[in-house]
Amino acid sequence: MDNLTNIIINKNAHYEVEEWIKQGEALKYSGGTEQRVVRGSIPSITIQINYNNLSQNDYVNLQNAYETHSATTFICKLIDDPEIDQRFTNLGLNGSVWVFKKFEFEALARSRLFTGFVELTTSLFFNFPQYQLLMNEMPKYAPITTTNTSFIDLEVEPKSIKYAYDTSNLLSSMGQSARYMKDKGNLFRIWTLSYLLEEENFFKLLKFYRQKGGLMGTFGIPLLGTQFLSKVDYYPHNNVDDNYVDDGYVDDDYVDDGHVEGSPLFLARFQNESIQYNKSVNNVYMIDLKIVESRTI
Amino acid sequence: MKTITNNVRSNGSIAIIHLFELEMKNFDGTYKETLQFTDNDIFVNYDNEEYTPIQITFDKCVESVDMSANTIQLTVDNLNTELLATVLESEWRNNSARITRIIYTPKANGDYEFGNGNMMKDGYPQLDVSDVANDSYNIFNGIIDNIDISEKSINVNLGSRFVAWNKPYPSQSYNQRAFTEVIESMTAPIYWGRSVPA
Repeated sequence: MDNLTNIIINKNAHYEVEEWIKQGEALKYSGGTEQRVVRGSIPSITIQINYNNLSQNDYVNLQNAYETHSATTFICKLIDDPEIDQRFTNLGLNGSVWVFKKFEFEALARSRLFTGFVELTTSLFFNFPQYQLLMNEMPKYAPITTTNTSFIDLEVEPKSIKYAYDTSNLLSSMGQSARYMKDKGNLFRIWTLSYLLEEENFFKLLKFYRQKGGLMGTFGIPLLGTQFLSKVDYYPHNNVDDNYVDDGYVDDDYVDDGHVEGSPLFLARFQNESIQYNKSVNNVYMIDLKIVESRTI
Repeated sequence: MKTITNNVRSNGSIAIIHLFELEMKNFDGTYKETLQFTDNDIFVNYDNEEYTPIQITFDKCVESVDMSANTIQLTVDNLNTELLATVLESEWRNNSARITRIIYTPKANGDYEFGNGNMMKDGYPQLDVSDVANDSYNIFNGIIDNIDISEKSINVNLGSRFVAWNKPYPSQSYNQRAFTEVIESMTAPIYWGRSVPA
Protein backbone atom coordinates (compact mmCIF):
# COMPACT_ATOMS: atom_id res chain seq x y z
CA MET A 1 0.00 0.00 0.00
CA ASP A 2 1.41 3.39 -0.97
CA ASN A 3 2.29 5.98 1.64
CA LEU A 4 1.12 9.38 0.40
CA THR A 5 1.94 11.29 3.58
CA ASN A 6 4.55 13.57 2.03
CA ILE A 7 2.46 14.43 -1.01
CA ILE A 8 -0.75 15.12 0.88
CA ILE A 9 0.66 16.90 3.91
CA ASN A 10 3.16 18.93 1.87
CA LYS A 11 2.35 22.66 2.00
CA ASN A 12 -1.21 22.24 3.20
CA ALA A 13 -2.88 25.38 4.55
CA HIS A 14 -5.39 24.06 7.07
CA TYR A 15 -7.60 21.09 8.02
CA GLU A 16 -11.32 20.79 8.52
CA VAL A 17 -12.23 17.63 10.36
CA GLU A 18 -15.51 15.87 11.02
CA GLU A 19 -15.19 12.99 13.42
CA TRP A 20 -17.34 10.15 14.75
CA ILE A 21 -15.77 8.38 17.74
CA LYS A 22 -18.49 6.31 19.22
CA GLN A 23 -21.35 5.57 16.94
CA GLY A 24 -24.31 4.17 18.77
CA GLU A 25 -27.39 5.09 20.68
CA ALA A 26 -28.59 5.76 24.20
CA LEU A 27 -31.58 3.83 25.48
CA LYS A 28 -33.41 5.65 28.21
CA TYR A 29 -35.21 3.56 30.78
CA SER A 30 -38.26 4.73 32.63
CA GLY A 31 -36.32 4.59 35.89
CA GLY A 32 -34.17 7.48 34.67
CA THR A 33 -31.07 5.45 33.93
CA GLU A 34 -29.54 5.32 30.54
CA GLN A 35 -28.06 2.44 28.63
CA ARG A 36 -25.48 3.52 26.09
CA VAL A 37 -24.94 1.10 23.24
CA VAL A 38 -21.70 1.61 21.42
CA ARG A 39 -21.04 0.45 17.88
CA GLY A 40 -17.65 0.25 16.28
CA SER A 41 -14.18 0.14 17.76
CA ILE A 42 -12.45 2.45 15.33
CA PRO A 43 -13.10 6.19 15.15
CA SER A 44 -14.24 7.53 11.80
CA ILE A 45 -12.87 10.76 10.39
CA THR A 46 -13.55 12.81 7.30
CA ILE A 47 -10.86 15.44 6.81
CA GLN A 48 -10.71 18.22 4.25
CA ILE A 49 -7.15 19.34 3.64
CA ASN A 50 -6.91 22.76 2.02
CA TYR A 51 -4.08 24.12 -0.06
CA ASN A 52 -3.34 27.73 -1.04
CA ASN A 53 -1.17 28.81 -3.95
CA LEU A 54 0.55 25.57 -4.76
CA SER A 55 3.09 25.57 -7.52
CA GLN A 56 2.41 23.60 -10.65
CA ASN A 57 4.76 20.80 -9.62
CA ASP A 58 3.15 20.39 -6.22
CA TYR A 59 -0.31 20.41 -7.78
CA VAL A 60 0.56 17.83 -10.45
CA ASN A 61 2.04 15.54 -7.78
CA LEU A 62 -1.19 15.76 -5.82
CA GLN A 63 -3.28 15.20 -8.92
CA ASN A 64 -1.27 12.12 -9.90
CA ALA A 65 -1.65 10.75 -6.38
CA TYR A 66 -5.42 11.20 -6.55
CA GLU A 67 -5.78 9.61 -9.98
CA THR A 68 -3.68 6.61 -9.03
CA HIS A 69 -5.59 6.13 -5.77
CA SER A 70 -9.09 7.27 -6.66
CA ALA A 71 -10.44 3.80 -5.86
CA THR A 72 -7.76 2.32 -3.62
CA THR A 73 -6.70 2.72 -0.03
CA PHE A 74 -3.47 4.45 0.93
CA ILE A 75 -1.50 5.31 4.03
CA CYS A 76 -1.30 8.87 5.31
CA LYS A 77 0.01 10.00 8.66
CA LEU A 78 -1.08 13.43 9.82
CA ILE A 79 2.39 14.41 10.90
CA ASP A 80 1.67 17.68 12.63
CA ASP A 81 -1.28 16.43 14.62
CA PRO A 82 -0.88 12.75 15.46
CA GLU A 83 -3.65 13.07 18.06
CA ILE A 84 -6.21 13.61 15.32
CA ASP A 85 -5.89 10.07 14.00
CA GLN A 86 -5.97 7.76 17.02
CA ARG A 87 -5.50 4.80 14.75
CA PHE A 88 -1.89 5.84 14.28
CA THR A 89 -1.40 5.80 18.04
CA ASN A 90 -3.14 2.46 18.62
CA LEU A 91 -2.40 0.56 15.41
CA GLY A 92 0.70 2.21 14.01
CA LEU A 93 1.33 3.51 10.52
CA ASN A 94 -0.36 0.51 8.91
CA GLY A 95 -3.57 1.49 10.65
CA SER A 96 -3.62 5.04 9.25
CA VAL A 97 -5.35 4.16 5.99
CA TRP A 98 -7.60 6.47 4.02
CA VAL A 99 -9.55 6.80 0.79
CA PHE A 100 -10.06 9.90 -1.34
CA LYS A 101 -13.55 11.36 -1.42
CA LYS A 102 -13.15 14.61 -3.30
CA PHE A 103 -10.58 16.56 -5.26
CA GLU A 104 -11.25 20.17 -6.31
CA PHE A 105 -8.75 22.82 -7.32
CA GLU A 106 -8.69 26.13 -9.13
CA ALA A 107 -5.86 27.88 -10.93
CA LEU A 108 -5.83 31.59 -11.72
CA ALA A 109 -4.09 32.64 -14.90
CA ARG A 110 -2.75 35.76 -13.22
CA SER A 111 -0.82 33.91 -10.56
CA ARG A 112 -0.53 30.47 -12.16
CA LEU A 113 -0.92 29.05 -8.68
CA PHE A 114 -3.29 26.33 -7.57
CA THR A 115 -5.73 26.55 -4.68
CA GLY A 116 -8.14 23.87 -3.57
CA PHE A 117 -8.70 20.89 -1.32
CA VAL A 118 -8.77 17.14 -1.09
CA GLU A 119 -11.15 15.26 1.15
CA LEU A 120 -10.16 12.00 2.81
CA THR A 121 -12.20 9.46 4.76
CA THR A 122 -10.83 6.86 7.13
CA SER A 123 -10.75 3.33 5.79
CA LEU A 124 -10.96 0.02 7.65
CA PHE A 125 -8.95 -1.81 5.02
CA PHE A 126 -5.80 -1.75 7.14
CA ASN A 127 -2.39 -2.48 5.74
CA PHE A 128 -2.00 -5.79 7.56
CA PRO A 129 -1.87 -9.08 5.61
CA GLN A 130 -4.94 -10.42 7.44
CA TYR A 131 -6.95 -7.54 6.02
CA GLN A 132 -5.22 -7.14 2.69
CA LEU A 133 -5.73 -10.79 1.76
CA LEU A 134 -9.50 -10.32 1.86
CA MET A 135 -9.57 -8.43 -1.41
CA ASN A 136 -7.46 -7.07 -4.26
CA GLU A 137 -7.70 -3.39 -5.03
CA MET A 138 -7.08 -2.79 -8.72
CA PRO A 139 -7.05 0.79 -9.98
CA LYS A 140 -8.25 1.08 -13.54
CA TYR A 141 -7.91 4.74 -14.50
CA ALA A 142 -6.58 4.82 -18.08
CA PRO A 143 -6.98 8.13 -19.89
CA ILE A 144 -7.02 8.13 -23.68
CA THR A 145 -4.58 10.44 -25.44
CA THR A 146 -4.97 12.08 -28.81
CA THR A 147 -3.02 14.17 -31.29
CA ASN A 148 -5.99 16.42 -32.05
CA THR A 149 -4.73 19.95 -31.42
CA SER A 150 -7.81 21.81 -32.69
CA PHE A 151 -8.65 23.20 -29.27
CA ILE A 152 -5.23 24.41 -28.26
CA ASP A 153 -4.66 25.78 -31.80
CA LEU A 154 -7.37 28.34 -31.08
CA GLU A 155 -4.90 29.98 -28.70
CA VAL A 156 -7.73 31.38 -26.62
CA GLU A 157 -6.68 31.38 -23.02
CA PRO A 158 -8.90 31.23 -19.90
CA LYS A 159 -8.49 33.50 -16.91
CA SER A 160 -9.12 30.65 -14.48
CA ILE A 161 -9.61 26.89 -14.57
CA LYS A 162 -11.29 24.63 -12.07
CA TYR A 163 -10.26 20.99 -11.80
CA ALA A 164 -12.55 18.28 -10.53
CA TYR A 165 -13.49 14.67 -11.19
CA ASP A 166 -16.59 12.69 -11.87
CA THR A 167 -16.67 9.12 -10.66
CA SER A 168 -19.20 6.43 -9.97
CA ASN A 169 -16.93 4.08 -8.09
CA LEU A 170 -18.79 1.90 -5.61
CA LEU A 171 -17.94 2.21 -1.96
CA SER A 172 -18.90 -0.07 0.89
CA SER A 173 -18.73 1.31 4.36
CA MET A 174 -18.97 0.23 7.97
CA GLY A 175 -20.31 3.03 10.08
CA GLN A 176 -18.83 6.24 8.78
CA SER A 177 -15.59 4.63 7.57
CA ALA A 178 -14.95 3.26 4.13
CA ARG A 179 -14.42 -0.44 3.77
CA TYR A 180 -13.84 -1.34 0.15
CA MET A 181 -13.87 0.65 -3.04
CA LYS A 182 -14.66 -0.95 -6.36
CA ASP A 183 -13.11 0.79 -9.32
CA LYS A 184 -15.68 0.75 -12.11
CA GLY A 185 -13.17 2.30 -14.47
CA ASN A 186 -15.16 5.49 -15.00
CA LEU A 187 -13.11 8.23 -13.42
CA PHE A 188 -13.31 11.34 -15.60
CA ARG A 189 -11.46 14.62 -15.37
CA ILE A 190 -13.61 17.75 -15.58
CA TRP A 191 -12.17 21.14 -16.51
CA THR A 192 -14.28 24.26 -15.98
CA LEU A 193 -12.74 27.10 -17.95
CA SER A 194 -13.60 30.76 -17.38
CA TYR A 195 -12.68 33.28 -20.04
CA LEU A 196 -12.59 37.03 -20.38
CA LEU A 197 -12.30 37.68 -24.12
CA GLU A 198 -12.52 40.36 -26.71
CA GLU A 199 -14.94 39.89 -29.53
CA GLU A 200 -12.62 38.25 -32.03
CA ASN A 201 -11.48 35.53 -29.65
CA PHE A 202 -14.97 35.12 -28.29
CA PHE A 203 -16.38 34.27 -31.71
CA LYS A 204 -13.47 31.94 -32.38
CA LEU A 205 -14.27 30.01 -29.21
CA LEU A 206 -18.01 30.07 -29.76
CA LYS A 207 -17.63 28.75 -33.30
CA PHE A 208 -15.43 25.93 -32.03
CA TYR A 209 -17.96 25.07 -29.34
CA ARG A 210 -20.75 24.89 -31.88
CA GLN A 211 -18.67 22.66 -34.12
CA LYS A 212 -17.62 20.32 -31.36
CA GLY A 213 -20.40 20.68 -28.84
CA GLY A 214 -22.22 17.62 -27.54
CA LEU A 215 -21.31 13.97 -27.49
CA MET A 216 -19.88 13.70 -30.95
CA GLY A 217 -17.12 16.25 -31.05
CA THR A 218 -13.85 15.33 -29.34
CA PHE A 219 -10.54 17.14 -29.20
CA GLY A 220 -7.32 17.11 -27.24
CA ILE A 221 -6.79 19.07 -24.05
CA PRO A 222 -3.60 19.38 -21.99
CA LEU A 223 -3.44 18.02 -18.46
CA LEU A 224 -3.88 21.48 -16.95
CA GLY A 225 -6.57 22.51 -19.40
CA THR A 226 -4.60 25.08 -21.32
CA GLN A 227 -1.23 25.43 -22.94
CA PHE A 228 -0.46 28.67 -21.16
CA LEU A 229 -2.01 29.66 -17.88
CA SER A 230 -1.20 33.33 -18.24
CA LYS A 231 -1.00 35.87 -21.05
CA VAL A 232 0.03 38.62 -18.72
CA ASP A 233 3.41 38.43 -17.10
CA TYR A 234 3.53 40.37 -13.89
CA TYR A 235 7.13 39.41 -13.50
CA PRO A 236 9.42 37.93 -16.11
CA HIS A 237 9.13 34.20 -15.38
CA ASN A 238 11.10 33.26 -18.42
CA ASN A 239 13.77 35.87 -17.97
CA VAL A 240 14.88 35.51 -14.41
CA ASP A 241 18.40 36.77 -14.07
CA ASP A 242 20.45 37.63 -11.04
CA ASN A 243 20.21 41.38 -11.58
CA TYR A 244 16.45 41.54 -11.48
CA VAL A 245 15.26 38.96 -8.97
CA ASP A 246 17.04 37.04 -6.28
CA ASP A 247 17.54 33.37 -7.02
CA GLY A 248 15.79 32.51 -3.82
CA TYR A 249 12.68 34.53 -4.58
CA VAL A 250 11.24 32.77 -7.58
CA ASP A 251 11.01 29.03 -7.33
CA ASP A 252 12.02 27.07 -10.42
CA ASP A 253 8.54 25.62 -10.36
CA TYR A 254 7.15 28.86 -11.72
CA VAL A 255 9.49 29.07 -14.66
CA ASP A 256 7.40 27.13 -17.10
CA ASP A 257 4.15 27.33 -19.00
CA GLY A 258 0.86 25.62 -18.25
CA HIS A 259 1.58 22.74 -20.57
CA VAL A 260 3.71 20.29 -18.64
CA GLU A 261 6.70 19.53 -20.81
CA GLY A 262 6.32 16.29 -22.70
CA SER A 263 2.79 15.60 -21.49
CA PRO A 264 0.24 14.42 -24.03
CA LEU A 265 -3.16 15.80 -24.97
CA PHE A 266 -6.11 13.93 -23.47
CA LEU A 267 -9.26 13.10 -25.35
CA ALA A 268 -12.13 15.30 -24.18
CA ARG A 269 -15.40 16.85 -25.25
CA PHE A 270 -17.64 19.70 -24.18
CA GLN A 271 -20.20 18.79 -21.57
CA ASN A 272 -23.68 19.10 -23.03
CA GLU A 273 -25.12 22.61 -22.86
CA SER A 274 -22.36 23.70 -20.54
CA ILE A 275 -21.49 27.05 -22.13
CA GLN A 276 -22.64 30.28 -20.54
CA TYR A 277 -21.61 33.71 -21.67
CA ASN A 278 -22.53 37.33 -21.39
CA LYS A 279 -21.18 40.60 -22.68
CA SER A 280 -20.17 43.45 -20.45
CA VAL A 281 -20.58 47.13 -21.24
CA ASN A 282 -16.97 47.48 -22.34
CA ASN A 283 -17.41 44.84 -25.08
CA VAL A 284 -15.65 42.10 -23.16
CA TYR A 285 -17.23 38.67 -23.13
CA MET A 286 -17.27 36.46 -20.05
CA ILE A 287 -17.63 32.76 -20.85
CA ASP A 288 -17.75 29.64 -18.73
CA LEU A 289 -17.71 26.17 -20.17
CA LYS A 290 -17.10 22.63 -19.01
CA ILE A 291 -14.93 20.04 -20.69
CA VAL A 292 -15.17 16.39 -19.74
CA GLU A 293 -12.65 13.68 -20.44
CA SER A 294 -13.89 11.24 -23.08
CA ARG A 295 -13.31 7.53 -23.49
CA THR A 296 -14.73 7.17 -27.00
CA ILE A 297 -13.08 8.16 -30.21
CA MET B 1 -33.32 -19.11 29.21
CA LYS B 2 -31.23 -16.13 28.27
CA THR B 3 -29.68 -14.05 30.98
CA ILE B 4 -27.84 -10.78 30.71
CA THR B 5 -25.55 -10.53 33.68
CA ASN B 6 -24.33 -7.38 35.34
CA ASN B 7 -21.01 -8.30 33.88
CA VAL B 8 -21.37 -5.74 31.16
CA ARG B 9 -23.77 -3.28 32.71
CA SER B 10 -21.75 -1.92 35.58
CA ASN B 11 -20.41 1.05 33.62
CA GLY B 12 -23.60 1.90 31.83
CA SER B 13 -22.03 1.53 28.43
CA ILE B 14 -22.06 -1.61 26.36
CA ALA B 15 -21.08 -2.61 22.86
CA ILE B 16 -23.08 -5.10 20.86
CA ILE B 17 -21.65 -7.12 18.04
CA HIS B 18 -22.95 -10.12 16.17
CA LEU B 19 -21.24 -13.23 14.89
CA PHE B 20 -22.61 -15.05 11.87
CA GLU B 21 -21.83 -18.63 10.93
CA LEU B 22 -22.92 -20.07 7.61
CA GLU B 23 -22.16 -23.66 6.76
CA MET B 24 -20.99 -24.45 3.25
CA LYS B 25 -20.92 -27.93 1.77
CA ASN B 26 -19.49 -29.41 -1.40
CA PHE B 27 -21.91 -30.39 -4.09
CA ASP B 28 -21.56 -34.02 -3.10
CA GLY B 29 -22.95 -33.20 0.32
CA THR B 30 -19.69 -33.40 2.26
CA TYR B 31 -18.80 -30.61 4.65
CA LYS B 32 -16.61 -27.91 3.15
CA GLU B 33 -16.22 -24.96 5.51
CA THR B 34 -18.07 -22.60 7.80
CA LEU B 35 -18.07 -18.95 6.80
CA GLN B 36 -17.62 -16.85 9.90
CA PHE B 37 -18.45 -13.14 9.79
CA THR B 38 -18.97 -10.31 12.22
CA ASP B 39 -20.56 -6.90 11.91
CA ASN B 40 -17.77 -5.45 14.07
CA ASP B 41 -15.33 -3.19 12.24
CA ILE B 42 -12.27 -5.34 13.06
CA PHE B 43 -11.64 -9.08 13.32
CA VAL B 44 -13.23 -10.80 16.31
CA ASN B 45 -11.64 -13.71 18.11
CA TYR B 46 -14.26 -15.67 20.04
CA ASP B 47 -13.83 -19.12 21.47
CA ASN B 48 -10.63 -19.59 19.45
CA GLU B 49 -12.46 -18.92 16.21
CA GLU B 50 -11.83 -15.88 14.05
CA TYR B 51 -14.67 -13.90 12.51
CA THR B 52 -14.07 -11.69 9.48
CA PRO B 53 -15.42 -8.15 9.58
CA ILE B 54 -17.78 -7.38 6.74
CA GLN B 55 -20.67 -5.04 6.19
CA ILE B 56 -23.51 -7.32 7.22
CA THR B 57 -26.92 -6.49 8.59
CA PHE B 58 -30.04 -8.42 9.37
CA ASP B 59 -33.63 -7.45 9.65
CA LYS B 60 -35.76 -7.99 12.68
CA CYS B 61 -35.57 -11.37 14.33
CA VAL B 62 -39.04 -12.32 15.53
CA GLU B 63 -39.73 -15.28 17.71
CA SER B 64 -43.29 -16.47 18.20
CA VAL B 65 -44.88 -19.45 19.88
CA ASP B 66 -46.81 -20.70 16.89
CA MET B 67 -45.23 -23.21 14.59
CA SER B 68 -44.89 -20.99 11.53
CA ALA B 69 -41.35 -20.66 10.28
CA ASN B 70 -39.35 -17.61 11.34
CA THR B 71 -37.11 -16.08 8.74
CA ILE B 72 -34.30 -13.59 8.86
CA GLN B 73 -32.81 -11.85 5.88
CA LEU B 74 -29.10 -11.12 6.01
CA THR B 75 -27.67 -8.50 3.68
CA VAL B 76 -23.97 -8.97 3.08
CA ASP B 77 -21.70 -6.60 1.19
CA ASN B 78 -20.61 -8.15 -2.09
CA LEU B 79 -18.51 -5.36 -3.49
CA ASN B 80 -15.28 -7.30 -3.48
CA THR B 81 -16.99 -10.46 -4.84
CA GLU B 82 -14.79 -12.67 -2.66
CA LEU B 83 -17.82 -14.03 -0.84
CA LEU B 84 -19.63 -14.53 -4.13
CA ALA B 85 -16.88 -16.78 -5.44
CA THR B 86 -17.18 -18.98 -2.34
CA VAL B 87 -20.97 -19.10 -2.50
CA LEU B 88 -21.11 -20.06 -6.16
CA GLU B 89 -18.71 -22.95 -5.77
CA SER B 90 -20.43 -24.43 -2.70
CA GLU B 91 -23.79 -25.86 -1.80
CA TRP B 92 -25.45 -23.55 0.69
CA ARG B 93 -29.10 -24.52 0.59
CA ASN B 94 -30.50 -26.23 3.69
CA ASN B 95 -27.24 -25.85 5.55
CA SER B 96 -26.95 -24.62 9.10
CA ALA B 97 -26.76 -20.95 10.01
CA ARG B 98 -26.31 -19.33 13.39
CA ILE B 99 -26.28 -15.79 14.73
CA THR B 100 -24.63 -15.07 18.08
CA ARG B 101 -24.90 -11.79 19.94
CA ILE B 102 -22.05 -10.62 22.13
CA ILE B 103 -22.49 -7.80 24.58
CA TYR B 104 -19.28 -6.47 26.05
CA THR B 105 -17.82 -3.46 27.79
CA PRO B 106 -15.29 -1.59 25.63
CA LYS B 107 -12.02 -1.53 27.49
CA ALA B 108 -10.48 1.76 28.54
CA ASN B 109 -7.40 3.03 26.79
CA GLY B 110 -5.34 5.55 28.69
CA ASP B 111 -7.31 8.73 29.15
CA TYR B 112 -10.27 7.49 27.18
CA GLU B 113 -12.75 5.86 29.51
CA PHE B 114 -14.44 3.74 26.88
CA GLY B 115 -11.62 3.82 24.48
CA ASN B 116 -10.16 1.74 21.79
CA GLY B 117 -7.91 -0.37 23.97
CA ASN B 118 -6.94 -3.91 23.13
CA MET B 119 -7.27 -3.44 19.43
CA MET B 120 -3.98 -5.07 18.48
CA LYS B 121 -3.38 -8.73 19.09
CA ASP B 122 -1.05 -11.14 17.31
CA GLY B 123 0.19 -8.23 15.25
CA TYR B 124 -3.03 -7.01 13.66
CA PRO B 125 -6.22 -5.24 14.77
CA GLN B 126 -8.67 -7.68 16.33
CA LEU B 127 -11.02 -7.85 19.25
CA ASP B 128 -10.40 -10.81 21.54
CA VAL B 129 -13.70 -11.26 23.35
CA SER B 130 -12.09 -13.15 26.21
CA ASP B 131 -10.11 -10.02 27.10
CA VAL B 132 -13.19 -7.98 27.90
CA ALA B 133 -16.16 -8.47 30.21
CA ASN B 134 -18.78 -10.03 27.96
CA ASP B 135 -21.96 -12.00 27.63
CA SER B 136 -22.87 -14.00 24.59
CA TYR B 137 -25.93 -15.89 23.54
CA ASN B 138 -27.39 -17.47 20.49
CA ILE B 139 -30.16 -15.36 18.98
CA PHE B 140 -30.90 -17.44 15.92
CA ASN B 141 -30.23 -20.98 14.88
CA GLY B 142 -31.66 -22.12 11.57
CA ILE B 143 -30.97 -23.09 8.00
CA ILE B 144 -30.12 -21.22 4.82
CA ASP B 145 -33.20 -21.03 2.66
CA ASN B 146 -32.16 -19.12 -0.44
CA ILE B 147 -29.71 -16.50 -1.66
CA ASP B 148 -30.19 -13.46 -3.93
CA ILE B 149 -27.08 -12.00 -5.50
CA SER B 150 -26.54 -8.53 -6.89
CA GLU B 151 -23.47 -6.47 -7.71
CA LYS B 152 -23.47 -4.72 -4.37
CA SER B 153 -24.91 -7.25 -1.95
CA ILE B 154 -25.85 -10.82 -1.26
CA ASN B 155 -29.20 -11.36 0.48
CA VAL B 156 -29.36 -14.58 2.44
CA ASN B 157 -32.70 -15.79 3.74
CA LEU B 158 -32.43 -17.87 6.86
CA GLY B 159 -35.32 -19.95 8.10
CA SER B 160 -35.87 -21.60 11.44
CA ARG B 161 -35.58 -25.38 11.53
CA PHE B 162 -39.34 -25.72 11.51
CA VAL B 163 -39.37 -24.65 7.87
CA ALA B 164 -38.37 -28.22 7.01
CA TRP B 165 -41.66 -29.51 8.44
CA ASN B 166 -43.73 -27.55 5.94
CA LYS B 167 -42.11 -28.80 2.79
CA PRO B 168 -44.16 -31.15 0.64
CA TYR B 169 -42.97 -34.67 0.13
CA PRO B 170 -41.59 -34.95 -3.42
CA SER B 171 -44.26 -36.41 -5.66
CA GLN B 172 -44.04 -39.41 -7.94
CA SER B 173 -46.40 -40.29 -10.75
CA TYR B 174 -48.09 -43.65 -11.25
CA ASN B 175 -50.35 -44.66 -14.03
CA GLN B 176 -52.59 -46.85 -11.86
CA ARG B 177 -55.88 -45.41 -10.62
CA ALA B 178 -56.20 -48.13 -8.00
CA PHE B 179 -53.43 -46.58 -6.02
CA THR B 180 -54.85 -43.06 -6.12
CA GLU B 181 -55.38 -42.80 -2.39
CA VAL B 182 -51.92 -44.12 -1.67
CA ILE B 183 -50.47 -41.62 -4.05
CA GLU B 184 -52.43 -38.76 -2.50
CA SER B 185 -51.19 -39.60 0.95
CA MET B 186 -47.63 -39.69 -0.30
CA THR B 187 -47.86 -36.31 -1.99
CA ALA B 188 -49.85 -34.50 0.70
CA PRO B 189 -47.84 -31.91 2.71
CA ILE B 190 -46.87 -32.95 6.22
CA TYR B 191 -47.97 -30.62 9.01
CA TRP B 192 -46.57 -30.82 12.50
CA GLY B 193 -48.78 -29.93 15.43
CA ARG B 194 -51.55 -28.50 13.29
CA SER B 195 -54.71 -30.04 11.89
CA VAL B 196 -54.61 -30.87 8.19
CA PRO B 197 -56.67 -28.36 6.18
CA ALA B 198 -59.69 -29.82 4.38
